[in-house]
Amino acid sequence: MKSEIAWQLSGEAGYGILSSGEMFSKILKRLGYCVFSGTEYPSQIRGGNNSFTMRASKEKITSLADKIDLLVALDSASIEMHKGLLSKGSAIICDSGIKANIKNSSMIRVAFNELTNKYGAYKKVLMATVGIGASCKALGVEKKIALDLIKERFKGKNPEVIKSNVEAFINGYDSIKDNKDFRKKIIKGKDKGLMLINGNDALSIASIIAGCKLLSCYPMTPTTSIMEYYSKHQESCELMLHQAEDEISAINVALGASYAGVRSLVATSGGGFALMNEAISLAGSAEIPAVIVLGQRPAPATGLPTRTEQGDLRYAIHAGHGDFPKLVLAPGDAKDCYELTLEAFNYSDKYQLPAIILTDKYLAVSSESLPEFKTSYRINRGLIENNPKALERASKFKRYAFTKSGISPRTLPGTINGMNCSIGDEHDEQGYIIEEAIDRKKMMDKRERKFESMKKELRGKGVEVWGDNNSKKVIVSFGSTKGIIIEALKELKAKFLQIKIVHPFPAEELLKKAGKHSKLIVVENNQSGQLSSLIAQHTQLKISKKLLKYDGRHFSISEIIRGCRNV
Amino acid sequence: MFETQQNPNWCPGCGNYGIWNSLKLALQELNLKPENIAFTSGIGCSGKIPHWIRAYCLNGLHGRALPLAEGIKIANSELIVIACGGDGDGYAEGTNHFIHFCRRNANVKYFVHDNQIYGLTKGQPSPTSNEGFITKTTPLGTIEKALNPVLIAIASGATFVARGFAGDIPHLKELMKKAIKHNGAAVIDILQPCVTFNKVNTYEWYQKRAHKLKKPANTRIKAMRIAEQWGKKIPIGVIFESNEKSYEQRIPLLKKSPLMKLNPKKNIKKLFNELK
Ligand SMILES: Cc1ncc(C[n+]2csc(CCOP(=O)(O)OP(=O)(O)O)c2C)c(N)n1
Ligand code: SF4
Repeated sequence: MKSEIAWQLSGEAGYGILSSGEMFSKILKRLGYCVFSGTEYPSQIRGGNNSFTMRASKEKITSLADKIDLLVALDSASIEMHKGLLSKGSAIICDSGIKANIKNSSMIRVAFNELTNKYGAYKKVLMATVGIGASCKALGVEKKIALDLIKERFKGKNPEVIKSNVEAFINGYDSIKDNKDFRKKIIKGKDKGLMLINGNDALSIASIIAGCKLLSCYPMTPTTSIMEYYSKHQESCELMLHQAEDEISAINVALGASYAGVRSLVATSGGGFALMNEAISLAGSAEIPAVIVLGQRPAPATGLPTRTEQGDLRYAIHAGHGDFPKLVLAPGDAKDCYELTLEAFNYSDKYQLPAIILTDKYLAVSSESLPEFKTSYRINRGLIENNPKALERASKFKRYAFTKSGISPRTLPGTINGMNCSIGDEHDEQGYIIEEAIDRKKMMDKRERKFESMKKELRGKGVEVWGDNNSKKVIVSFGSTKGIIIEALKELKAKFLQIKIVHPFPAEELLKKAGKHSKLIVVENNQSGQLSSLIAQHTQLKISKKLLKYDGRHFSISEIIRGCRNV
Repeated sequence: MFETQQNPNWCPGCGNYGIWNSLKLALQELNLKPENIAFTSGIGCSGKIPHWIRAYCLNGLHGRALPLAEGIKIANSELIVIACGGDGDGYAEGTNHFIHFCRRNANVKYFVHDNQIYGLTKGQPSPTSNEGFITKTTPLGTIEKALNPVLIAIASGATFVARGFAGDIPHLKELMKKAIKHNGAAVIDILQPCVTFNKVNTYEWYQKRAHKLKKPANTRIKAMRIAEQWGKKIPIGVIFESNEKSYEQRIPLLKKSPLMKLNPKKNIKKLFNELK
C-alpha cells in the first residue's frame, strides 16, 4: 500500500497535540486522502505522554494502522515509547538536541527548541506547529494548502496567533532538507468533501436532528465532548445544556423534561451510569422516554479514565433494578452512532422506555473521514394525546391504560383534562398506587407487551453482515471493534457479524446469519467475554474462540488477524 | 376543582392532612388551572400528596423530587412546578439536590413535610430529629445534631425561604400562595406532626413554640439569625425573600419561549461542513 501513510504526533500533555493532529488530518483529507485518527492520553493535565495517531490512505480505511511511518516526537520519551511501532523506512522528526538513533528509522532533526524560544507561554503549542510544518515538507505537501488551513482555523482569533502559527509552520517546513532515506510521499488528489467525524460528534448531530433540545449532564470522559458540542451549538441550534450537580440529578432532570414533552439526552460513562441506575428503573416503571449514552471506559471504579474498554455490556443490559423493558444499541463507528441515535429517540418515545446507546472511548474520539450522512428522518413522538375534546373530564387520565401493544397514550402537562399520575410505585391504569397481586401482575405484563411489540419492530435489524458471507469462519462482535475487524477482513477469509442491537438480543437473526456448522470467534474488549456469554445464553451456537483484550487499549488489526487465522 | 376520586390514606390526625388542605386552598385562591400545575414528589408518606390533588403529578424516587421538577420547569416554563417530599427525602437522600436547587434559584416551589422522623419506613430518626431523639433504632437517643434546613436554604441562595406549620392552615395557605407567586427557588419547611411515630414533636409541642414573624428579614445574615432560633420559640412565616433572576430567566434561549415550544430551523448542512 504505497499510497498509505501512518503518522503520529507525540509529546507531553500541554503541547496541543490533539488540535494540531486534527489539523494535519484535515490537510491530508483535503489532499484527497481517507483518514482515520485516534488519540491516547493519560488522566492528567500536565506531563505524561499524549499522542495523536493518524492513518491516511487512498483507499477506504476504518481503523488506525498497526505501525508508524512518520513520528513527530516532541520529547525523547516519545521515541522510547513508540519506537516499537516504527516501520521499516520510517522517519522520526525530533529536536536537534536528541541524540538517539533508532534502527530502521531515519532521524530528521529540527531545531524545535530554538525555533520556538521566542514564543514564551505559547512555545509548547507552537512546537507542535513546527512539527506539522516539518511533516508536510517530509511528505512533500505543498505549503499553501496547509497555510490556508491554519488561517481558516484561527479565523477570528488574535492576528498574533495566526502570525505565530504561520511563522512556526514555515520555519518547520523550511528547516528540513530532502531526506533520501524517507521515501513516503503524498500523492496529491482532489478533496472528496468528506467530513472528519468521531462518534461523539456523530451522536450529537443525530440528537439535534432528532429534535433533542436538552442535554443534561455531569462531565465524564469519554462523553464530555458531547457537552462541548451542545455548548458550541447552543445558539445556532437552540439547544439547552444543563450541567447538574451529579449524575443522579442529571438523569432525573432529563426525565422531568421528557415527561413534560421535551426530547432529552444524558451522556456519561460507567461510574456516572451507576449513579443513574435507579432512575433508569424509574423510567421503566413510569414509562418515561429517556435516551442515555454510556461511553465505556476501563473499570472497575474509576479504572483507566482516558482509555478504552467494552466492559459494561452486561451492565447496560441489566441496568436498573427489576424487570422492565429497555433498549440497548451498540454502534460500531461514527455512522452507526449517527443512525442508531436517530433510532434511539424514536424507539424511546414510541415505546416509552429508556434507550441506552453503548459506545466507548475509542469510538467516542476516533475520527473517520466519511461522506455527509443522510438527513431524511421522521420524528415519531409516539402516542401523545393532546386533544382536550378526546379527553374526558376525569379526576385523573388513565396514563397506563391497558392496551394490546402495551403502549398507553400519554398526555403532557398543560393539556386540559390530561392530568395524570406518572409514578415509579406499582400502579393501576390511573397511576394510583396498588398492592394487589393481580393488579401488579397485570401492569408488569402490560410493560412486557411493549417489549414484545418492540422486538417485532426490531426483527432483522440487529445484526449486520460483513465480509465473506459463505465462509464458515464467523467473527462476531459488537461496538467499536467493527472497523478494526473490517480491516482484518482484507487479509482473513471470514464472515463478520456485527451485533448492533444488544438488547433485546437478536438471537434468531444471529442464528440465521451465522449459518449452520460455523466456527464462531467472538471478539471483545473485555475480560470475561460478555458478548460470548450472551450468545451462549440466547442461542445454541458453539463458540470456537473468544478473542479478548482488556488492557485498556483497542485491538490492533494484526491482533485480530493472528487471533482468527488458525481457528 | 382540585379534588380527586381517591382520598388520602394517611393515619387519622396526620399533619399531612393540614398540608393537603392548605395546598388545595392555595391553588384555588390563586385561581390556578389544574392542567397548568405539575407536581413532583419523592417517596414517603409525604410524597403521596399529589396523588390526591387534581393536577399533573410525577411521583419519582426517594430524594429526587427536585431534579424532576427542575427538568419539567426547564422544558416548560409556563407551568407552575411544585416539588413535595419529606425531611428524609429532601434533607438526607436528596441533600445535594436541595443545596444546588437553592443556588440555582430554579423557579420551582419546594414544600417539605418536616415531621422530624421517617414515617413510611416506620419511625427511624431523620436529619431533623432533635439530638437525643429516641426511636426504635436509636433506643439511647440520636447522637447527631439536627440539621437546620431553613438555615441551609438561606445560605445556599434560595430566594424565598419560609417555615410553616401543618396545624395552622390559614397561615400555611398564605405562605404557599406567596411561594407560588414568588419568582425563583421557594422553600417552605413545614412542621408536620406524625401522630403515629413521633410522640415528641406533637401538635401541642409545635403550637407552644410556633411564633409568627411579621415580615421577612431583608438580608441573608439577618435571616440566618432568625433561622437559628429553635427552642422555646420556633419562628414561622416568611424568613427570607429577595428578588433575583431565576435560573430559567438567566437562560437566553428560554427568554424567547418555553423550550417545549421552540422549533428552530436547524442548518444541518452547516454542522457537516464544520467537520470538513
Ligand atoms: C433509595 C431508597 N432508599 C430508601 C428507601 C426507603 N424509604 C422510603 S420512605 C423513606 C423515608 C421516609 O421519610 P421521609 O422522607 O421523612 O418521609 P415521611 O414518610 O416521613 O413523609 C425511606 C428511607 C427508598 N424508598 N428508596
Ligand atoms: S406515619 Fe406519620 S407521617 Fe405517615 S401518615 Fe402516619 S402519621 Fe402521617
